[in-house]
Amino acid sequence: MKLIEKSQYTVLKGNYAVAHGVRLARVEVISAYPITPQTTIAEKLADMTATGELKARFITVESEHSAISAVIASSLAGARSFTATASQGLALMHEMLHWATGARAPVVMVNVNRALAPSWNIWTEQTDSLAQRDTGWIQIYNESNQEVLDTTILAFKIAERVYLPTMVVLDAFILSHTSEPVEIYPQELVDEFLPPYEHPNAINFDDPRAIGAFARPEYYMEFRYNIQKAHEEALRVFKEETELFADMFGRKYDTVEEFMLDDADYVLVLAGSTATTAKYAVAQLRERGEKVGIMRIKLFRPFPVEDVRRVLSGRKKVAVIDRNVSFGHSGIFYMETRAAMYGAKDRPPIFGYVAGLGGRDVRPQDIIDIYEDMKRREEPENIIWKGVRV
Amino acid sequence: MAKKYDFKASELPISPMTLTTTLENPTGGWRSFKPVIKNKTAPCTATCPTKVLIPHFIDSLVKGDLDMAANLLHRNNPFPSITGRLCHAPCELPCNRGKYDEPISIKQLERFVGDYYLDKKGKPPRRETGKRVAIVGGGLAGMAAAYYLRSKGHEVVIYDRNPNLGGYLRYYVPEYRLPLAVLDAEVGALERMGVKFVLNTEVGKDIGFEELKEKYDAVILAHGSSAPANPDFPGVELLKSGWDLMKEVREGARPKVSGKVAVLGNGYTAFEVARVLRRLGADPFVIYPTAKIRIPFSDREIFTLAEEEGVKFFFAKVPLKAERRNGKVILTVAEWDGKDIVPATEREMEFEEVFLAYEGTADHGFLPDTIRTDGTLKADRRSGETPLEGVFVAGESVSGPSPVVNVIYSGRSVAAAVDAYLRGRTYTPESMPEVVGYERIVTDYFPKAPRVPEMRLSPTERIHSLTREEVLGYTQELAMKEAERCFNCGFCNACGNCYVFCPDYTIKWVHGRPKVDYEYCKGCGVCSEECPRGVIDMVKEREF
Repeated sequence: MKLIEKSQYTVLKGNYAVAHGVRLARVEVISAYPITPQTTIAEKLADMTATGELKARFITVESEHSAISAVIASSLAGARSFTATASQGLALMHEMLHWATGARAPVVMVNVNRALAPSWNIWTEQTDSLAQRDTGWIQIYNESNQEVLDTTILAFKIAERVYLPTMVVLDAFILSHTSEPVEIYPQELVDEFLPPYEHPNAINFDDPRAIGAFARPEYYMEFRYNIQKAHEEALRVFKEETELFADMFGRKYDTVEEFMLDDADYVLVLAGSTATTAKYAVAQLRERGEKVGIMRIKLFRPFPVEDVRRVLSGRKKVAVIDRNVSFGHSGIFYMETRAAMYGAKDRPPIFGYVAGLGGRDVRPQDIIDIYEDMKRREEPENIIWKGVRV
Repeated sequence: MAKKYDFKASELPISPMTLTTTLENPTGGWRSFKPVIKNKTAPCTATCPTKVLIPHFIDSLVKGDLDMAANLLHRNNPFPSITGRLCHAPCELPCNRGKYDEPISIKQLERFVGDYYLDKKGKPPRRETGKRVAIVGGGLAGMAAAYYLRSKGHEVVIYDRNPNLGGYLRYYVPEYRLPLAVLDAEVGALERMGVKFVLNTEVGKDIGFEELKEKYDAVILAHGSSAPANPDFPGVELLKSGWDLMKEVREGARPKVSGKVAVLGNGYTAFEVARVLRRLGADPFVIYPTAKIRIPFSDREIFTLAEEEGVKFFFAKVPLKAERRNGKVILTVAEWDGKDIVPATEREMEFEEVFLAYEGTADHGFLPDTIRTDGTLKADRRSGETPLEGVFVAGESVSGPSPVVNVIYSGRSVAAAVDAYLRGRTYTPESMPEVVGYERIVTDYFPKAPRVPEMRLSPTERIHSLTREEVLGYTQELAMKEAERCFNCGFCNACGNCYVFCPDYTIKWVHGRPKVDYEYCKGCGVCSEECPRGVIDMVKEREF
């Protein structure tokens, strides 16, 4: 019997899928501070650690800043390390997110997308993670609970090959607290995929060093250059590892997911669980004979410029649907997509839509409305608010 | 030689890092203030007349080391089982915890540790000095002086006119306040230490003062203040002695007294005689010279106990005349304003009996004139030194009636002076480091908790017995619970907070205690801020 046949299907909430991914990755150090809607991840992992199901140290802390600090240190000490947060918690970590990258600590963090306050709101929105765009973290967005589990395992593999911290992102409640059938793989198979973690500069008591040293202008730029190179490498590694993952586990992921795009004139671009709704709407539109498809962005950093160009070039029109906003400009995926397409051949006009902020539902009819609005419009606009009462 | 910028990006390590340890960089030079770990004085110790190391012994109690707690407690108080019952506990007034919720019940903790150790104590000194000291009077002051001098290795002989040691505590203080068994155990400890007693021997009568001076290297006069000091007014000789009553009762007699009786006095003895009368079945009234609010703090506890038991009081009154008529005593009293009798306030009161219970005074009759002025001893209050070489005075014989703890301190400090004298050294009174105020306590570390009440008899239970001890104190469980409330102000109890909080790991843990590594300490002050009990000061490195 092949190992994969020993998998077990179970019904899991997204947060528990994360916990099982972390368990299967044999994480050694966990530190997290509770925040809705992430809390049940930390709780489940604390449980697993307490029962011995997961042989790890769970470090309790007084804030997210300390949680990330703790796992950066444990990662540099040579232990596979994990943390999880959301929204305000991620914002509090900001300083240390840069630190993790600069010190090249391949920490994996799960961020449950939640809107920032005020107004206080606990529901899903992507602005919290996208606002950390320039911290140098790899960012991977997910659509389903199975994908969350798979990506958690993948994240460790990619992070530890390029020594970059990696953020796995899922939507508040729509994924985090909603149950779906999830395949949990046998430990032996995951062990085959994910070897034990090693860091070339791991702290060694016999040869003491201080990590995070001073670098004068003569060298600072070289260290930064190396981080950029690592991101470029990460794009290749992502492709390799998702291939290998597909071979071993039977699920294929890519930097972007293409849905009904073969003959599509119109493309909707989005990320996260809204894609599921959009797929349902697009299938209906297809039945009406509309030539429309979806490009779901999975990998946000490093940004898959080539894949985006390949998919979008030559289309008639493109609409980017953002569940986030960069005030004073537009949605962030829109901005990134446009930037990637600048200078590409046969570049289509790109329309920017902002929808579903603070957890407002994005329904199939909203997707259809957006599609029809885009078709009607002649000139692209940077920010078109969907469903705002003005 | 390598050029300055010739490393390529690909040649750099993944993480920016030093190639040696950070120990190469002694960051102590960045400091302008340095943390100094320095034990201070807790307000309780500062207020205690004999300076009991209160936070120290309570810490050992919390840590479950009862022998160490007893050891620390006995350093400055040889008789905690006595003070644990009779002390007026001035230490509890300034307790920093009192500003937070309620003061620590120090007296009860002292009693608990004292009683725990009562039969264990009394080890002879390791070394004998060969010096000989005579102590005149085996009351509390003499016993305290004997304890400390004997532990220093001197030969100590106590002379007492009574058949046993203890003085006032043995012959007057009632059993319900201080069980004889406790006093006997303290005396037993002195005996085990090797203190010698010459009993039933009155100095000045059975042996001369000069003879003592010749036979011993030093003499301590601790003969106390037990001579009657009754005021003089017509008919005073018709009244009964409260002192005699206390003595009879202590010895087991139960004289019949009933009806309205009066007690005339000016201090502890008056309140205690009234309480004894209450237990004998009488209805006692204390005629007291000052207003109620002027009762000194040291007598407040006994006053409250008496009041609870139904003793009544006439405040700010003095007796002018006593007569006997038809088997009753008619006492004429008048208002007293503290200096003079208030005119036209005389009135007669009728009692079944009136007892005199004034505090005693010292009788120095057996001493040469050289150390007396108008009947008062000339002596230093702390060292007890007199104009006569080798002669010292301790306790109430120089201070007059005093609370037990003051008497113990006198015995202890005079013992230190005598020890210095015998060794040919100069006596220097002990000094105390600065007192830790409430503002230095980081109360966040201490959950609020009410004071643990000690076990006591109710007033109704109390007035039915002359022998049952009225305060029962703490069990070990209660004592531990109360001890845990202590802030241990100014005393490093090795809690480890500074060690945990030092961001640069420059506080080391050496032999179970924190030690600052000044090579690397940057002087950030976190340790000082986080010390819960004000032990770590930030001190300027030098003047600007």
